[in-house]
Amino acid sequence: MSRELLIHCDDVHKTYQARRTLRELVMPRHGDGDATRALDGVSFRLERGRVLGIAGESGSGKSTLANLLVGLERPTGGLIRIGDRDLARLRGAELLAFRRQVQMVFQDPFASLNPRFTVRRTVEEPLVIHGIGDRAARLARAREALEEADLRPAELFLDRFPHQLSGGQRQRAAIARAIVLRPSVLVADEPVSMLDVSVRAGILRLLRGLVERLSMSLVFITHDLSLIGQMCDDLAIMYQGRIVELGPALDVLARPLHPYTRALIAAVPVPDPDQRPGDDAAALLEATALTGIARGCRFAPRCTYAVERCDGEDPRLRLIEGTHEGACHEIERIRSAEKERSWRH
Amino acid sequence: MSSVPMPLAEAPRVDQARWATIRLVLGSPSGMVGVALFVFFCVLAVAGERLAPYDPVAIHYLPNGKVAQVEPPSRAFWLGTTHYGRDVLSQVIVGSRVAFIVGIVSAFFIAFIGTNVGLVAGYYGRRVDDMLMRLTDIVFGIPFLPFAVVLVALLRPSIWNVILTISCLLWRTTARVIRSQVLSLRERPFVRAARVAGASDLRIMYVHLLPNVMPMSLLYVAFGVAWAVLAEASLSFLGFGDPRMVSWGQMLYAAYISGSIRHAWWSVVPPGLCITLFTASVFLIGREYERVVNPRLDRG
Amino acid sequence: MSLLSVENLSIEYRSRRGVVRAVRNTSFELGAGKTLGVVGESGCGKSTLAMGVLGLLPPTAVVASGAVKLGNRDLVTLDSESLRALRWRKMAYVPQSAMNSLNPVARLRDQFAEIWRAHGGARNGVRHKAEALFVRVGLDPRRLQSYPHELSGGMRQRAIIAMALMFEPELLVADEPTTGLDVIVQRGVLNLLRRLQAEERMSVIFVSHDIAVVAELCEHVAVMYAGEIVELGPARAIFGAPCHPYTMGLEQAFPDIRDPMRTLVSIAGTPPRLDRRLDGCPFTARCPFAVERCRVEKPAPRAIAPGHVVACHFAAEGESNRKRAREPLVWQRGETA
Repeated sequence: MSRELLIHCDDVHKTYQARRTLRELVMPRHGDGDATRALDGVSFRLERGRVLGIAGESGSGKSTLANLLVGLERPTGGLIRIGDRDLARLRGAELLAFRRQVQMVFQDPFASLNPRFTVRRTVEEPLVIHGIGDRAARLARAREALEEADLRPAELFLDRFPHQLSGGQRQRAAIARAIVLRPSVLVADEPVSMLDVSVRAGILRLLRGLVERLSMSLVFITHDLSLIGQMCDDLAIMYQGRIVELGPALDVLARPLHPYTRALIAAVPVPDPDQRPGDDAAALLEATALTGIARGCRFAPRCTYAVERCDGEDPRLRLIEGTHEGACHEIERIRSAEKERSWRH
Repeated sequence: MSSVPMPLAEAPRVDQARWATIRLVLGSPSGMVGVALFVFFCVLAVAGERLAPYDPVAIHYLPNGKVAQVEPPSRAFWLGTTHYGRDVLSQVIVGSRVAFIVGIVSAFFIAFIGTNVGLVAGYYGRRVDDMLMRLTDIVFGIPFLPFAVVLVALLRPSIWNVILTISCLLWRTTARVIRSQVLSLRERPFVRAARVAGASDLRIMYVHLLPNVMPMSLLYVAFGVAWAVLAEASLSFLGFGDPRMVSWGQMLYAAYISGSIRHAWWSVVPPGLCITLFTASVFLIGREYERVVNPRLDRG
Repeated sequence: MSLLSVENLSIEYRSRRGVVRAVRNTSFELGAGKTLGVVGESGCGKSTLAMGVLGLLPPTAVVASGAVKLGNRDLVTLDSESLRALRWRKMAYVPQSAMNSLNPVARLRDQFAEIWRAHGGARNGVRHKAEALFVRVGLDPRRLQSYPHELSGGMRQRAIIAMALMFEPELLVADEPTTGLDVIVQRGVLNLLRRLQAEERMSVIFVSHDIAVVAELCEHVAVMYAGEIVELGPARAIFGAPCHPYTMGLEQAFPDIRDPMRTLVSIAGTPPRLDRRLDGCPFTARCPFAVERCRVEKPAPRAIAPGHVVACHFAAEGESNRKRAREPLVWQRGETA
């Protein structure tokens, strides 16, 4: 069964140039030594009604990807197509129309709401910007959005300010704002990491429910792998601007292909006093920022499975089984040596 | 799915929130003093001639026909008379009106220009910010009184020129402060959210950011009133004020020129005290207001 | 013989707007060389408790009642000079976001030296000591010459831990030691902490909202809710057979990467306001097993097994309650406290 393709990213690049000082204009340096490659060739697809998880640590480029998907920044290369529109080409009125298609939920619920706006104003704002409906219609739609975000009865919340709400309620208000335009795509950037543990599940269930009810796609960005199983159909693992593994979420978690994925999964502490992870994960050095051009696999300096080939040749994302892809030369060897369990006792 | 209530029943409504601020400002001793003084001067300014016992420019005569010059305070003239035979008390009362006009109009312009410059510079950054801040730096470099003197000397000395002079220069501090606020607010997710929703730059600046910097702007309106009154008094004292208007600064000027400053304290102390108290009241209110409002700004 | 004994400690924040009872009548003991984890969500009072134990409360907070006994000295009664003498030497503190609390304009070796001198260290020997400590926490000793911003977050955290160990304290209190760190970096710091625990004879209190971190590091766990310790016991008991409904809810709400498909629980409602009197059990409004008695009668902490204390009227019914606690719907009855 083939669903409508909502997001199509193909070889997306985003490079940041260091700000030019006067000295550089007068005495220019050669090469792109000061450029930072936040995204270095990212490709994936997302269909309607599915949730894609993007997991990675800081520096992986996941936040940059989020910014590109919602149009806050433009890619320096590659294609981002949302629905049937090429994001890089949109300008003016078309860009505004595009905004109705993609919306975002942010990490900090409090900071993502204007402290001087009531909840009603916050949720109505997108409607006002796009000139939708009159006052009464907007209020009705705002109410509807709030109720869909499980803030019931909406009356109770319309005239409140963010500082009068709890963390979970703020995030729900932010979600209501994001869905009031009925977007096709929702990008959630760490939507629960700043919320108390006991409210996280509710927000996640809400997002999952909205994906189904409103027929949307959700890009769920997180650094917490434990939440992936709850939320995501597919999972992409990012490392230093690249997707190093991509596949069905449960497959990636249960049978990780890439050494980095393995390390990530092994590194997560579990709420069980009897479980003791091995010390091998600590052998990883602290990551350094990616600048300049790297030759071989980016993960090679930290990888316990690295061989000579890894330093010279950059592995591409390739299909291993089903729809599960990995970017590593040594996948087959690692899998066959699985029983050695290098990462966890 | 169940609803997610919280102790909202106790949370104040929109309008109540504003009253809470006012109550908090009044709650502290300095706030109360400031408000009381300010209200006092308001009454003086509004009542003006009706409250004053005499016409402020009327010259009074002694029974023997001579001008009642520099008479010490008496039952007829509570604060005595000036060198020109005018009643000090009446002048002080009417002078408050000039203080208010100059103060409030100038303050409004200071806040208006400063806020807009700060908003635009802080929001756009880069070259726009550089240009506007260089302009602000130049304005900072201009010393107030010499510039004011030159300007007023070129144009006629009038109250509007005084206001113009004050407004042209004193917006610089407001601009700096608002700009730094905008710089930090600009990075907040709610601004990104507005952009993702499709808001234009103008809309973000004036609909989303402005309400957040308003408390700071209002604070600088308050300071602006104080600065303007002091500036007007200084200009008048130097002889560049509007000679047709009775202002506290003019009173000091007249006392100085006529020499009565040296031996008639009643011609100097009342206007001086009024300038001091009025400025102080505005500062006190501004400071209390800032203390009340800032914690909430910081919570974001 | 316990190193640290907290008895009926209550801490309040006093301001113009009223009194907030952040920590209410908490008691626990910590033996020498043992680790205790204090878990709870935001606002439960765990950070206040940690600061209260060390005498590091801000000026607006006061110890309303109770005692904190280190050895046989009651820290609450000590004056600031005596407390200062104890700090860093006998008890060390790694605060929240410690990696951001380093002086940005001083090199690390100077910051070491400053602490060393301030707490009575000999003039020489600090350099050698600092280098040895850096090696212990897994940092290159040459990094002592760096400024904090030249190190990554994880490295700064290790540096802070090294500083805390400078005088080989008897007690270490760490508040959210790995929060804000990347997964792999967190793993490194966790492994370091485990290694240090094995090597030192230090007692440690870890404060965290992350029960997985606490499960990994701590032998004993105290669960806090609305300023009170609702359950306290060995980690195995707390995780394997929790007896307080809040502990059950918290564990059901926490994801486990080994079981990605398990439906997580969300506890409806919010914690009660701490500026009000709280009659009865604070968890009543959100508890699936609450009855009228819970609303009026505060449950006293009772030991249901050696070292395992629970403050709940139905502590004895742990087994059946645990079964019911696994149903997500059971947690939706929450109302306003």
